[in-house]
Amino acid sequence: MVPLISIHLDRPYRAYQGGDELHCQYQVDRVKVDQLQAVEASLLWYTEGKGEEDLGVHYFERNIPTTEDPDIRPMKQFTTTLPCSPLSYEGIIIKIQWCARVRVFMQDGTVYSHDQAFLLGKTPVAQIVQP
Amino acid sequence: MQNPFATRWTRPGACPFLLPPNTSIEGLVEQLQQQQGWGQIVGPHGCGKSTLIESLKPILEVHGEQLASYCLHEGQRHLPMKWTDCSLQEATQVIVDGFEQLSKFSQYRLKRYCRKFNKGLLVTTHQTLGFTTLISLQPDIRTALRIVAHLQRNHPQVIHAEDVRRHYQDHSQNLRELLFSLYDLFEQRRLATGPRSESA
Repeated sequence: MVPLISIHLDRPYRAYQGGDELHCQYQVDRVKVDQLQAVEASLLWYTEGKGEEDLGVHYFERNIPTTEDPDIRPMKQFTTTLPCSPLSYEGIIIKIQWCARVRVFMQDGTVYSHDQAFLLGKTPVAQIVQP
Repeated sequence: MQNPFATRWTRPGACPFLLPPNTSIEGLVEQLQQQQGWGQIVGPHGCGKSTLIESLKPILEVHGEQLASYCLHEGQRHLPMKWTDCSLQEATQVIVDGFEQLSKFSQYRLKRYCRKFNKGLLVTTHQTLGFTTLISLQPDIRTALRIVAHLQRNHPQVIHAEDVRRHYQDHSQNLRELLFSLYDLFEQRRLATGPRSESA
Protein backbone atom coordinates (compact mmCIF):
# COMPACT_ATOMS: atom_id res chain seq x y z
CA MET A 1 0.00 0.00 0.00
CA VAL A 2 1.22 3.49 -0.84
CA PRO A 3 2.09 5.53 2.27
CA LEU A 4 0.00 8.60 2.96
CA ILE A 5 2.21 11.69 3.12
CA SER A 6 0.71 14.85 4.61
CA ILE A 7 2.30 18.30 4.39
CA HIS A 8 0.84 21.38 6.02
CA LEU A 9 2.12 24.92 5.51
CA ASP A 10 1.16 27.62 7.99
CA ARG A 11 -0.34 30.22 5.61
CA PRO A 12 -3.90 29.53 4.42
CA TYR A 13 -3.23 30.60 0.81
CA ARG A 14 0.39 29.36 0.89
CA ALA A 15 1.63 32.79 -0.21
CA TYR A 16 4.88 34.15 1.26
CA GLN A 17 7.32 36.99 0.72
CA GLY A 18 11.11 36.88 0.79
CA GLY A 19 12.31 37.04 4.40
CA ASP A 20 9.09 35.54 5.78
CA GLU A 21 9.25 32.57 8.11
CA LEU A 22 7.65 29.42 6.77
CA HIS A 23 6.47 26.78 9.20
CA CYS A 24 5.94 23.30 7.80
CA GLN A 25 4.50 20.18 9.42
CA TYR A 26 4.64 16.76 7.80
CA GLN A 27 3.63 13.25 8.66
CA VAL A 28 3.69 9.77 7.16
CA ASP A 29 0.81 7.32 7.68
CA ARG A 30 -0.55 4.05 6.32
CA VAL A 31 2.81 2.32 6.64
CA LYS A 32 4.32 0.00 9.23
CA VAL A 33 7.16 1.35 11.31
CA ASP A 34 9.59 -1.36 10.20
CA GLN A 35 8.90 -0.69 6.51
CA LEU A 36 10.49 2.75 6.67
CA GLN A 37 14.13 3.38 6.00
CA ALA A 38 14.14 7.19 6.04
CA VAL A 39 11.97 10.25 5.62
CA GLU A 40 13.38 13.37 4.02
CA ALA A 41 11.83 16.82 4.05
CA SER A 42 13.04 19.70 1.93
CA LEU A 43 12.06 23.15 0.81
CA LEU A 44 13.11 23.77 -2.74
CA TRP A 45 12.47 25.51 -6.02
CA TYR A 46 12.65 24.01 -9.47
CA THR A 47 12.16 25.22 -12.99
CA GLU A 48 9.68 23.72 -15.36
CA GLY A 49 9.18 24.38 -19.03
CA LYS A 50 10.56 23.58 -22.45
CA GLY A 51 14.26 23.56 -21.58
CA GLU A 52 16.69 21.96 -19.17
CA GLU A 53 15.47 21.78 -15.61
CA ASP A 54 17.15 23.48 -12.66
CA LEU A 55 16.65 23.00 -8.95
CA GLY A 56 17.81 24.60 -5.71
CA VAL A 57 17.35 23.25 -2.20
CA HIS A 58 16.80 25.89 0.49
CA TYR A 59 16.22 23.59 3.47
CA PHE A 60 16.77 19.86 3.99
CA GLU A 61 16.46 17.37 6.82
CA ARG A 62 16.59 13.58 6.93
CA ASN A 63 15.03 11.39 9.60
CA ILE A 64 16.15 7.82 10.14
CA PRO A 65 15.04 5.38 12.82
CA THR A 66 17.34 5.33 15.84
CA THR A 67 17.44 3.25 19.00
CA GLU A 68 15.97 6.17 20.97
CA ASP A 69 13.37 7.03 18.31
CA PRO A 70 12.61 4.03 16.10
CA ASP A 71 9.32 5.44 14.78
CA ILE A 72 9.77 8.21 12.21
CA ARG A 73 6.11 8.34 11.20
CA PRO A 74 4.72 10.90 13.69
CA MET A 75 4.35 14.55 12.79
CA LYS A 76 7.56 16.51 12.48
CA GLN A 77 8.02 20.18 11.78
CA PHE A 78 10.55 22.77 10.77
CA THR A 79 10.70 26.52 10.40
CA THR A 80 12.89 28.37 7.98
CA THR A 81 13.33 31.93 6.75
CA LEU A 82 12.58 32.19 3.07
CA PRO A 83 15.15 33.74 0.71
CA CYS A 84 14.47 36.82 -1.39
CA SER A 85 14.93 34.97 -4.66
CA PRO A 86 14.16 33.26 -6.92
CA LEU A 87 10.53 34.35 -6.81
CA SER A 88 7.76 32.09 -8.01
CA TYR A 89 7.16 32.79 -11.67
CA GLU A 90 4.64 31.47 -14.09
CA GLY A 91 6.03 32.25 -17.52
CA ILE A 92 5.26 30.75 -20.89
CA ILE A 93 8.48 28.87 -21.61
CA ILE A 94 9.71 28.66 -18.03
CA LYS A 95 8.10 28.53 -14.61
CA ILE A 96 9.73 28.66 -11.19
CA GLN A 97 7.89 26.56 -8.64
CA TRP A 98 8.55 26.52 -4.91
CA CYS A 99 7.43 23.55 -2.85
CA ALA A 100 7.83 21.62 0.36
CA ARG A 101 8.74 18.06 -0.58
CA VAL A 102 8.63 14.94 1.57
CA ARG A 103 10.28 11.78 0.30
CA VAL A 104 9.70 8.43 1.96
CA PHE A 105 12.31 5.72 1.49
CA MET A 106 11.01 2.19 2.08
CA GLN A 107 13.12 -0.76 3.16
CA ASP A 108 12.45 -2.49 -0.17
CA GLY A 109 14.03 0.42 -2.06
CA THR A 110 10.81 2.07 -3.20
CA VAL A 111 10.69 5.84 -2.89
CA TYR A 112 7.48 7.85 -2.56
CA SER A 113 7.36 11.60 -2.85
CA HIS A 114 4.78 14.29 -2.26
CA ASP A 115 5.01 18.03 -2.93
CA GLN A 116 3.08 20.91 -1.46
CA ALA A 117 3.47 23.99 -3.64
CA PHE A 118 3.55 27.55 -2.36
CA LEU A 119 4.15 31.00 -3.81
CA LEU A 120 7.14 33.16 -3.01
CA GLY A 121 6.54 36.79 -4.03
CA LYS A 122 3.85 38.26 -6.22
CA THR A 123 5.25 38.15 -9.72
CA PRO A 124 2.36 38.53 -12.19
CA VAL A 125 1.47 35.61 -14.40
CA ALA A 126 2.99 36.03 -17.87
CA GLN A 127 0.70 36.65 -20.82
CA ILE A 128 1.18 35.78 -24.46
CA VAL A 129 1.59 38.95 -26.49
CA GLN A 130 0.18 38.57 -29.97
CA PRO A 131 2.38 40.23 -32.65
CA MET B 1 -2.71 23.48 -14.09
CA GLN B 2 0.63 21.87 -14.98
CA ASN B 3 1.77 21.55 -18.55
CA PRO B 4 2.11 17.79 -19.25
CA PHE B 5 4.41 18.56 -22.18
CA ALA B 6 7.08 20.24 -20.00
CA THR B 7 10.54 18.72 -20.16
CA ARG B 8 10.20 17.23 -16.70
CA TRP B 9 7.50 14.88 -18.03
CA THR B 10 8.80 14.28 -21.56
CA ARG B 11 12.56 13.89 -21.14
CA PRO B 12 14.08 10.42 -21.51
CA GLY B 13 13.61 8.59 -18.26
CA ALA B 14 10.55 10.58 -17.19
CA CYS B 15 8.32 9.24 -19.94
CA PRO B 16 8.47 5.49 -20.59
CA PHE B 17 9.08 4.37 -24.13
CA LEU B 18 5.82 3.24 -25.68
CA LEU B 19 6.77 0.28 -27.78
CA PRO B 20 4.88 -0.85 -30.84
CA PRO B 21 2.43 -3.73 -30.26
CA ASN B 22 4.01 -7.20 -30.02
CA THR B 23 7.30 -5.74 -28.78
CA SER B 24 8.46 -5.55 -25.19
CA ILE B 25 11.43 -4.08 -23.34
CA GLU B 26 12.21 -7.52 -21.89
CA GLY B 27 12.11 -8.98 -25.41
CA LEU B 28 14.58 -6.37 -26.64
CA VAL B 29 16.92 -7.08 -23.72
CA GLU B 30 16.81 -10.81 -24.46
CA GLN B 31 17.51 -10.12 -28.12
CA LEU B 32 20.43 -7.87 -27.19
CA GLN B 33 21.87 -10.56 -24.94
CA GLN B 34 21.55 -13.09 -27.76
CA GLN B 35 23.65 -10.66 -29.81
CA GLN B 36 26.28 -10.66 -27.00
CA GLY B 37 25.28 -7.11 -26.08
CA TRP B 38 26.05 -5.68 -29.50
CA GLY B 39 23.39 -3.79 -31.40
CA GLN B 40 22.11 -0.53 -32.82
CA ILE B 41 18.88 1.38 -32.35
CA VAL B 42 18.20 3.20 -35.59
CA GLY B 43 15.79 6.06 -36.11
CA PRO B 44 15.41 9.68 -37.22
CA HIS B 45 15.72 12.78 -34.99
CA GLY B 46 13.22 12.93 -32.16
CA CYS B 47 11.78 9.46 -32.60
CA GLY B 48 12.51 8.28 -29.03
CA LYS B 49 15.91 6.57 -29.25
CA SER B 50 17.16 8.15 -26.00
CA THR B 51 13.86 7.41 -24.28
CA LEU B 52 14.15 3.77 -25.32
CA ILE B 53 17.71 3.65 -23.96
CA GLU B 54 16.48 5.00 -20.61
CA SER B 55 13.76 2.34 -20.55
CA LEU B 56 16.25 -0.42 -21.36
CA LYS B 57 18.80 0.53 -18.67
CA PRO B 58 16.96 -0.69 -15.55
CA ILE B 59 16.00 -3.98 -17.24
CA LEU B 60 19.60 -4.54 -18.35
CA GLU B 61 20.70 -3.97 -14.75
CA VAL B 62 18.12 -6.46 -13.52
CA HIS B 63 19.69 -8.93 -15.97
CA GLY B 64 23.02 -8.40 -14.21
CA GLU B 65 24.67 -6.03 -16.65
CA GLN B 66 27.03 -3.33 -15.35
CA LEU B 67 26.38 -0.26 -17.48
CA ALA B 68 28.64 2.49 -18.73
CA SER B 69 26.40 4.92 -20.55
CA TYR B 70 27.36 8.00 -22.56
CA CYS B 71 25.17 10.54 -24.31
CA LEU B 72 26.78 12.50 -27.11
CA HIS B 73 25.54 15.77 -28.50
CA GLU B 74 26.03 17.36 -31.88
CA GLY B 75 29.70 17.86 -32.71
CA GLN B 76 31.02 15.76 -29.81
CA ARG B 77 33.77 13.82 -31.57
CA HIS B 78 35.23 12.03 -28.55
CA LEU B 79 33.76 10.02 -25.68
CA PRO B 80 33.44 12.05 -22.46
CA MET B 81 35.55 9.59 -20.45
CA LYS B 82 39.01 8.13 -20.01
CA TRP B 83 39.86 4.54 -20.92
CA THR B 84 41.01 4.07 -17.33
CA ASP B 85 37.65 5.10 -15.80
CA CYS B 86 36.43 2.48 -13.33
CA SER B 87 32.86 2.71 -14.61
CA LEU B 88 34.05 1.78 -18.09
CA GLN B 89 36.49 -0.89 -16.98
CA GLU B 90 33.93 -2.62 -14.78
CA ALA B 91 31.10 -2.34 -17.30
CA THR B 92 29.78 -5.38 -19.11
CA GLN B 93 27.53 -3.29 -21.34
CA VAL B 94 28.61 0.00 -22.90
CA ILE B 95 25.85 2.27 -24.24
CA VAL B 96 26.52 5.24 -26.52
CA ASP B 97 23.57 7.44 -27.40
CA GLY B 98 24.53 9.31 -30.58
CA PHE B 99 27.38 7.02 -31.65
CA GLU B 100 27.67 8.60 -35.09
CA GLN B 101 28.78 11.89 -33.46
CA LEU B 102 32.12 10.20 -32.71
CA SER B 103 34.93 10.50 -35.21
CA LYS B 104 35.59 7.36 -37.25
CA PHE B 105 38.76 6.82 -35.24
CA SER B 106 36.92 7.12 -31.89
CA GLN B 107 34.24 4.70 -33.15
CA TYR B 108 36.93 2.23 -34.17
CA ARG B 109 38.77 2.54 -30.84
CA LEU B 110 35.63 1.97 -28.81
CA LYS B 111 34.55 -1.03 -30.88
CA ARG B 112 38.01 -2.55 -30.60
CA TYR B 113 38.10 -1.89 -26.85
CA CYS B 114 34.70 -3.53 -26.32
CA ARG B 115 35.66 -6.58 -28.40
CA LYS B 116 39.00 -6.94 -26.64
CA PHE B 117 37.48 -6.85 -23.15
CA ASN B 118 34.33 -8.78 -24.08
CA LYS B 119 31.89 -5.94 -23.41
CA GLY B 120 28.58 -5.36 -25.16
CA LEU B 121 28.16 -2.18 -27.19
CA LEU B 122 24.70 -0.75 -27.75
CA VAL B 123 24.48 2.41 -29.82
CA THR B 124 21.84 4.75 -31.20
CA THR B 125 22.22 6.17 -34.64
CA HIS B 126 20.22 7.90 -37.35
CA GLN B 127 21.47 5.55 -40.04
CA THR B 128 22.77 2.01 -39.86
CA LEU B 129 26.44 1.75 -38.86
CA GLY B 130 27.01 -1.93 -39.48
CA PHE B 131 25.88 -3.25 -36.10
CA THR B 132 23.08 -5.77 -35.88
CA THR B 133 19.88 -3.74 -35.59
CA LEU B 134 18.09 -4.21 -32.29
CA ILE B 135 15.12 -2.14 -33.38
CA SER B 136 14.44 0.38 -36.09
CA LEU B 137 12.16 3.19 -34.93
CA GLN B 138 9.84 4.90 -37.34
CA PRO B 139 7.40 7.25 -35.63
CA ASP B 140 3.82 7.31 -36.82
CA ILE B 141 0.68 9.17 -35.89
CA ARG B 142 -0.60 6.29 -33.75
CA THR B 143 2.55 6.45 -31.63
CA ALA B 144 2.18 10.22 -31.34
CA LEU B 145 -1.43 9.85 -30.19
CA ARG B 146 -0.45 7.20 -27.62
CA ILE B 147 2.32 9.41 -26.20
CA VAL B 148 0.02 12.42 -25.91
CA ALA B 149 -2.69 10.31 -24.25
CA HIS B 150 -0.08 8.96 -21.82
CA LEU B 151 1.21 12.44 -20.92
CA GLN B 152 -2.31 13.78 -20.40
CA ARG B 153 -3.52 10.74 -18.44
CA ASN B 154 -3.66 12.70 -15.16
CA HIS B 155 -4.60 16.03 -16.70
CA PRO B 156 -7.66 17.59 -18.30
CA GLN B 157 -7.75 16.80 -22.02
CA VAL B 158 -6.59 20.20 -23.23
CA ILE B 159 -4.90 18.77 -26.34
CA HIS B 160 -7.12 16.74 -28.66
CA ALA B 161 -6.41 14.17 -31.35
CA GLU B 162 -6.98 16.66 -34.16
CA ASP B 163 -4.36 18.98 -32.59
CA VAL B 164 -1.88 16.11 -32.54
CA ARG B 165 -2.56 15.23 -36.17
CA ARG B 166 -2.16 18.84 -37.32
CA HIS B 167 1.07 19.48 -35.40
CA TYR B 168 2.50 16.08 -36.32
CA GLN B 169 2.33 16.99 -40.00
CA ASP B 170 3.73 20.48 -39.30
CA HIS B 171 6.81 18.99 -37.63
CA SER B 172 7.71 16.42 -40.26
CA GLN B 173 6.94 13.51 -37.92
CA ASN B 174 9.55 14.58 -35.34
CA LEU B 175 8.00 13.54 -32.02
CA ARG B 176 10.29 15.75 -29.92
CA GLU B 177 9.35 18.84 -31.93
CA LEU B 178 5.72 17.78 -31.78
CA LEU B 179 5.82 17.73 -27.98
CA PHE B 180 7.50 21.17 -27.87
CA SER B 181 4.80 22.47 -30.13
CA LEU B 182 2.03 20.96 -28.00
CA TYR B 183 3.63 22.57 -24.93
CA ASP B 184 3.07 25.98 -26.55
CA LEU B 185 -0.48 25.11 -27.56
CA PHE B 186 -1.22 23.92 -24.03
CA GLU B 187 0.11 27.21 -22.61
CA GLN B 188 -2.05 29.26 -24.98
CA ARG B 189 -5.17 27.40 -23.92
CA ARG B 190 -4.23 27.35 -20.24
CA LEU B 191 -3.72 31.11 -20.16
CA ALA B 192 -6.99 31.63 -21.98
CA THR B 193 -8.99 29.54 -19.52
CA GLY B 194 -6.98 28.11 -16.65
CA PRO B 195 -6.24 29.28 -13.14
CA ARG B 196 -2.80 29.85 -11.65
CA SER B 197 -0.80 26.67 -10.93
CA GLU B 198 -1.65 25.16 -7.59
CA SER B 199 0.29 21.95 -7.42
CA ALA B 200 3.94 21.18 -7.95
